[in-house]
Amino acid sequence: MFNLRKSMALTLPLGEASDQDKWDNGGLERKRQLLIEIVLRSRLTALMVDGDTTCWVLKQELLRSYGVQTLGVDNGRDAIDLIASDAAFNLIIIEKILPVLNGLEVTRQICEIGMRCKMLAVTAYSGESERQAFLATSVDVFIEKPLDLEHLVPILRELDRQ
Amino acid sequence: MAASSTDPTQQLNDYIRTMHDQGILDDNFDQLLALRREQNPRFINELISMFTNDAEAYIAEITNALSLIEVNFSTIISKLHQLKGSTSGIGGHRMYQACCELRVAADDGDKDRCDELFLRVKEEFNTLKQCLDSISQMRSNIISNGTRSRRRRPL
Repeated sequence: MFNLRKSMALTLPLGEASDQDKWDNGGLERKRQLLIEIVLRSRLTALMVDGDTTCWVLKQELLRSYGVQTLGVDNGRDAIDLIASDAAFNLIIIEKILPVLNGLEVTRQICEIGMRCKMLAVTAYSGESERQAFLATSVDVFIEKPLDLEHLVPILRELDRQ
Repeated sequence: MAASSTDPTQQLNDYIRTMHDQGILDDNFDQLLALRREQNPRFINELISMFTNDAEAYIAEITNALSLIEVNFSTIISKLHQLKGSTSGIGGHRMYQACCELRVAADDGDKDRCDELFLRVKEEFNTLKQCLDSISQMRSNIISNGTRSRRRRPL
């Protein structure tokens, strides 16, 4: 039995910024613009593999903002078992430090199973060797935490075109 | 002319700007603000609470690992990695920098340096926590006032 943190896809009405968050910071406006920059035509699914609650919730909210259906597990073994049970995803986002099986090993096993999808390593950066180690396991993109809109939007756009 | 300083929203904006200026918060906090959920205006406050609880747990585990006669650097590195990740997500810039410096000392297996830098991590966490708690409180007041205002509106 998996320890899943399921969430249903929602297309959220972003609406206009309320007075609560009027913030004359150009960075905030840029982020808001990125949130409405694309409207996905496809129903995309993403698996998040991260043992940290804050990071998991942040990624979930980012993806849900674009209507991506998300599923989450908090350890490497559950991620492998899920993939091995023929669950299919457009996108897998994986952290390096995980309980049971680390992210590098999970990525290798996912490749061995033959799962074809976009894989992002999103991890707290600890040096070039870590980046190279992940890229050697065939992840498509290595992103230093946190997953940001500037990286995510082009990836979602690409997946939506496929 | 600048908006009245008694306006709660302006006070919150000014406070966040000050936290940016002092390097306590960075652009990643802006990303949180952009994600504010219409259906759940308390989303940011809930996330702040989540971060604070998790960070305190990581700090407790690092404290234990550092206190051992044979320091467990592996545990320190692992918990620090997670603390760095969640701190970067919440936008805690100075605390994140402190974690990075501690990571170098842990990689080197330098206990004395770890002790010194871990003190700084804890100081920056306390600063960040106070900042985030203030933001949570101000947001709660704004949300409550907004709710009361809506109830007073004529049907």
